[in-house]
Amino acid sequence: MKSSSLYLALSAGLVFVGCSKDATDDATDSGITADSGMTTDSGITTDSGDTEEPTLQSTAVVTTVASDYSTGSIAAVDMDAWTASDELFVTSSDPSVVAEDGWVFQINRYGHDSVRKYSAGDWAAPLWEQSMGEYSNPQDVEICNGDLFVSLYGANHMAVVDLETGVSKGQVDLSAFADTDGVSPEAASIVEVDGKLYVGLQQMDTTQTYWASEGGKVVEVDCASMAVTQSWNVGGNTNLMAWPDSGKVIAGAEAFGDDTAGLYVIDTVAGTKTQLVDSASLGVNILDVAVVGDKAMAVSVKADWSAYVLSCMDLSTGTILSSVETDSYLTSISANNRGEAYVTAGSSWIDPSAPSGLAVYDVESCTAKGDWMSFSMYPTSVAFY
Amino acid sequence: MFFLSTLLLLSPVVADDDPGEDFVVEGQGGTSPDPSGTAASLSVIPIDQRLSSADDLASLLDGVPGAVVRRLGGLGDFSAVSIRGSSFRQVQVFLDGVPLNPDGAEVVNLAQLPLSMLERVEVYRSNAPPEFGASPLGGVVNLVTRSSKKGQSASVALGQYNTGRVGLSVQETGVLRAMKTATLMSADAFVTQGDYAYFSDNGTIYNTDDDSRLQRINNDKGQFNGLGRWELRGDRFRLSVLDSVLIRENGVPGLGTHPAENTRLATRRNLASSQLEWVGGDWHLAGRAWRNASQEIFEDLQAENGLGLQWKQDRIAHTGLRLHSAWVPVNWFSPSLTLAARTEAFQRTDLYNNEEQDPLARAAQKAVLAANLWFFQDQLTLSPAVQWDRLDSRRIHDARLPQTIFVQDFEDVLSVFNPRSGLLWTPAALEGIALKANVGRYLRPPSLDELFGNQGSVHGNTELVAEKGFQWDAGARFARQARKGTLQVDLSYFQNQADNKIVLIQNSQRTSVPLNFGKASVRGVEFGLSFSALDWVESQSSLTWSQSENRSDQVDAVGKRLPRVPEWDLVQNTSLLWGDAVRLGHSYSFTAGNYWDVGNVFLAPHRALHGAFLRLIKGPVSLEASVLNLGDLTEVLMDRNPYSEEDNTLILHPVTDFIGYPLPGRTWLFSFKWQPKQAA
Repeated sequence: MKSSSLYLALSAGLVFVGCSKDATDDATDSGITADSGMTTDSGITTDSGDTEEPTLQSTAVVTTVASDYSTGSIAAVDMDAWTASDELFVTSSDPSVVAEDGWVFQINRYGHDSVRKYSAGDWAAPLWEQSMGEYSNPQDVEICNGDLFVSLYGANHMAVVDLETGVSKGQVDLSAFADTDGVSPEAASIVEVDGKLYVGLQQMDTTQTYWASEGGKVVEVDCASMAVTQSWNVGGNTNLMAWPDSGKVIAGAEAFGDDTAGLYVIDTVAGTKTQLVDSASLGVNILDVAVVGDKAMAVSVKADWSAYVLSCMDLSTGTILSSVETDSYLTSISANNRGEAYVTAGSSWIDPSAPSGLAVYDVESCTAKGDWMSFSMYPTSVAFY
Repeated sequence: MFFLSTLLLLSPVVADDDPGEDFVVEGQGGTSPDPSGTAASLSVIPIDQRLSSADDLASLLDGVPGAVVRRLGGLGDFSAVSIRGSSFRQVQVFLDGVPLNPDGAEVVNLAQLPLSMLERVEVYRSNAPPEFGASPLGGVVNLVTRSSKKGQSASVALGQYNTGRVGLSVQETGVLRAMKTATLMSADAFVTQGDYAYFSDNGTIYNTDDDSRLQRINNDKGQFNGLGRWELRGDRFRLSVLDSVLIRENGVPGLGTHPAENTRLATRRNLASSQLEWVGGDWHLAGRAWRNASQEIFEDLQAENGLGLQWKQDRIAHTGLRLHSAWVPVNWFSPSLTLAARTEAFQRTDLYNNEEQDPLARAAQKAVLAANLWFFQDQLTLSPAVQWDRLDSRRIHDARLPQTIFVQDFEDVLSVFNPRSGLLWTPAALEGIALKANVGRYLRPPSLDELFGNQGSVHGNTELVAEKGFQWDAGARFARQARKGTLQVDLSYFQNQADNKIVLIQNSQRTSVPLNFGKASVRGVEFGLSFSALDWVESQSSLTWSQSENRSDQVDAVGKRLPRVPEWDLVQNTSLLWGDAVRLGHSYSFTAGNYWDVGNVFLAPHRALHGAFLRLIKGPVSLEASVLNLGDLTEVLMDRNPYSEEDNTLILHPVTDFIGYPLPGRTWLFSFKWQPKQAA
């Protein structure tokens, strides 16, 4: 196992700034400039042609999970006061959360197959809760064209449901992309760019004891017609991340065919795919990326599973600016519109005494902004509003 | 007195002076141990007329103080036992002294072991006798097959959900070259559709519009158990050969809200054993060899269980040899030595991809040096023992399996000494009273699937070390037999501490890795009361109060109570008799203070279940109607959001032992049994 010196390295390498976080200039530098009629993740709809500073997000919604995966919960973190309202309501043991347009969508994935819609900040009861169907395994949601699109890992289609009721309105057929196991193309992450959805298809061969990728694709979905209009091959086990205001999407992928493992950039306007980072040469598998402007932070695991790695990157050049290893089990990283990245860490299987909880980093300076925040259970994902 | 009784226990063949065809050879476990004659916390449950035809090994063990059984469904469904807050693996189960899960290698499914083949069940909650060669954290359950009295029996039972059970047993005695022989042949066949109704909220606790009552699907089972035993007995020796066969096919129905419609499991097991006992004037020697080979084929071609498409075969074989010798050189001291060795082999074949993985094999050796010392005219018995366990895994050191994450710090050889001791005081001035105390250290080495992974959900971790535990208990027993009745009272206090507990930590969405992460303590009080009076009433009561604490470093678990270790557990069985013609039985079980999760978020509501049976007996024939879950309790009301003080909405939840596995409601069973009075 790794020694505790790595924690010292983590602490030393990422400069402590302070417990309370301010809406810094750095954060506003990352402010979103929205195109005509575009709805951004920050919940701002701008008038045609105008550019305005988005309202800074103030709350982080955090999913937490019990160490025995028997149950889960939601916590809300006041990002300014750095205080948490823990255990707001019960979720499944495999939860996820998405915040958009003043709503919070709480997804209960494998074995529960449901989506709940909350009015952000009102946690007494969801506005609606709907099952997405047995074995559907919903992964991500995105509002598009007034409807809610839901990626289903266990189905050959995406669900499209009424935003007000959660009742089914249609499907996006993905059967053409199903891999040879015949189960599904394993649709997972969704990113919205200029009114179109980009969906990562992991195309896993589930006949293997540990699933092997059969490729992986990014498909473009036209929300009005609920149809796939374009696709890219991007290696295996595809995970999409937003690159706000760039017209681009970042795809993390494992090696497959001619594609080496790493990060790819899909230019949705030009329709091109270019590799940004070759993670194989770095000896890591990149798991998640948080993007702020042209800077990003990534969570990776070393190829031999001996440690997790937190890296800072310059997306404009595809260079890794710095990296630090940790024994903490890093489960996600998410960017907000304040220029920050929130990192979640669960109960570490490498070293159970390693730090866990929620940590905040300034992406531009690549520095930590405080100590780990603990919850009654282990955080797994974050969304902001 | 006690050294004599011990000698008798050691040498069952000596006790038989009954000549001729109808001689009695005691069951494979020897003379039934007397709980008043041992320091160990022991319960002995005879398989007799007090049990209903709907009883199974799980319900029987549930009535033992300190034992808690968890079921994944109804009759024939998977069930396992925990003792004094232990994990299932920490309980070692033996069949006539042959380990079914040596060193906790696997969890024993109690549903695979029919009661019809058994004479009695012995449950050692602490300080099991050294001849088992076991020192598990959770205790020992020894299933003793039927004695070799001459006779036959046959039974047929039919019930709801297309449940049926047929049992047949034949026991014969004979003479071979002036030596006595005894043969037992027993068979048990069981089928059920298991398609009971249950409540489902469709995975949406806030949306009651999609709630429904569903029928359990893919929950059918077919099982055959066969047992043959042949004994040869001379003046000073006994040779016994036993073979037990299990053939089982069953659906794997999955979670109630996420049913698996096509997943199947096929199990085959053959246990062969032979034992030779030799008795001298003041010594006893017993040697036993066995081979327990099993094969499981798991088929999930629709990827219904979330681990991808699977069609895999696991083959496991345990081969062992155990020698036990005891000597009584003087009337106050009797040393004993137990030596045991076994090998464990495991091989997995991916049938879907037609790939055979490297076989894994390891060897274990044990030695137990023990003694009984009697003082003060046998009123005080001291039973110290020290056990050495060695587990040699060097043969699999170089194994590199895809499921294994850690290989750098593999512990080739585990070698551990664990002492234990028992004290028994039977004051002459207090007839029938026995005061007991036990203390010891126990362990469970990691199993092969914990070290090398399972069928996809668990990565192996070769860095694992053995779970260790420290236990002590103290108690009293009172037993009195009168002309018109019997009375037995047991009361004990126990405290268990477990360290290096192996717990599963998730390292990806679908996979976990076992780590030595857990610490826990459990203390409690066990009370047992058994009496019969005036030939018309029989009663057995069991009450356990447990206080558990999770002492691991996990933020959500530290200081919390252990899940599925209820604070209160009560079982009451009562029978009313009308001569030899009618028996009316009632069972009641009550559980309270039972959390479902490590974070103690979900506290299961108090649960009270009733059962009943009516048996009419005429000569060798009996007819019985029995009912389980008489009150048809299938749903409970639970807080929808336990976190919220404002949201007090209650929602329906299916009654479960494990979250997600609904239990059946009222279940009827009708049986016919023919059993001529056995020759004595």
